[in-house]
Amino acid sequence: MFVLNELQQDTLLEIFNIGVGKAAAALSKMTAEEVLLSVPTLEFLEWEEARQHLPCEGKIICGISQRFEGPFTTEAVLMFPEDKTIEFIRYILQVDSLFAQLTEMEQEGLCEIGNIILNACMAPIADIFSAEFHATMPEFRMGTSEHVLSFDAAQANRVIMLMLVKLQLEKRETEGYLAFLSVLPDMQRLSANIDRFISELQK
Amino acid sequence: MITPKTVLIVDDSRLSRMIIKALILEKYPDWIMLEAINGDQTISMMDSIPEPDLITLDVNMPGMDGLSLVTTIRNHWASVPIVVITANVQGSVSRKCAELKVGFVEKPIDAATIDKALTFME
Repeated sequence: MFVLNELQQDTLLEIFNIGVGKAAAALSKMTAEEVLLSVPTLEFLEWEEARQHLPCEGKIICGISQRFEGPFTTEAVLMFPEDKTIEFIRYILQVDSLFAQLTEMEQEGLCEIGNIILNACMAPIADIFSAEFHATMPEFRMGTSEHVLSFDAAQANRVIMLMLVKLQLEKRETEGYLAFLSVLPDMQRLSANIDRFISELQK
Repeated sequence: MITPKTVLIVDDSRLSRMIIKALILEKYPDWIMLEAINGDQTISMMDSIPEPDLITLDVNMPGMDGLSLVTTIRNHWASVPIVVITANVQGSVSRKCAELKVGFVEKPIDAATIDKALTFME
């Protein structure tokens, strides 16, 4: 089982904390509300076990997903429960709508919002590693958290790094999550980058 | 009489184009807003429109990315002011913008972002 030592884990969490902070700042700017952040959780799990740790269990959620390739590869997902997502995007777009479900334009708007927040998160991480990420176009997904995080049977035997951060918008009584998933070869590259970063700091 | 200015907004996101257009028109209601959804559409528009007073460009778009598009635009309009308005706020992107001598403004877009973008017209 892949493990990071204590210093590597601490460094990784701190690096992601910086990124998540920037993401929260971007979300706060868009919603005109303070965003409360949880301490990120970091786990290395096989997929079967990871399923038990996914947020928003049993709920239908809306997620925006992007794959970032660079100093390591990760799938980053911003997700909120469906009802809160609808409320949230209509506030940002300043539209009243009678539709109970997201319209195509609202989904598109969500993709852009997700794009901004996920890139705001990953940019400082790229800068810290003195590298560059290339991101896929943001993709809208809706369903259970398993579907949104695109866990599937093909990953059943894989070790996955799952990092989760809870985002809370108090006034809107909304809780969302940022999730980051990487598989084993990507985690090894991440580990090498963390080690390089630590050794640079120690010079 | 002051001629209204023309701004070409290049962004694959309809939301971003809407916001940029709305915020500029709020300040300058008589300005002319043109839109393109990607690099290819921008290129095909260049032969049929007069040189704009400002071009805003997203970076991450399907097909040609915004930074590659800068070179193509400059071959057609050598000195048109260009400002990148992007969610891709990595240091590498802001450095490339500086090398290309184009402005760099971060999303999310608000009135302050637009004010900053419009300074690149001068």
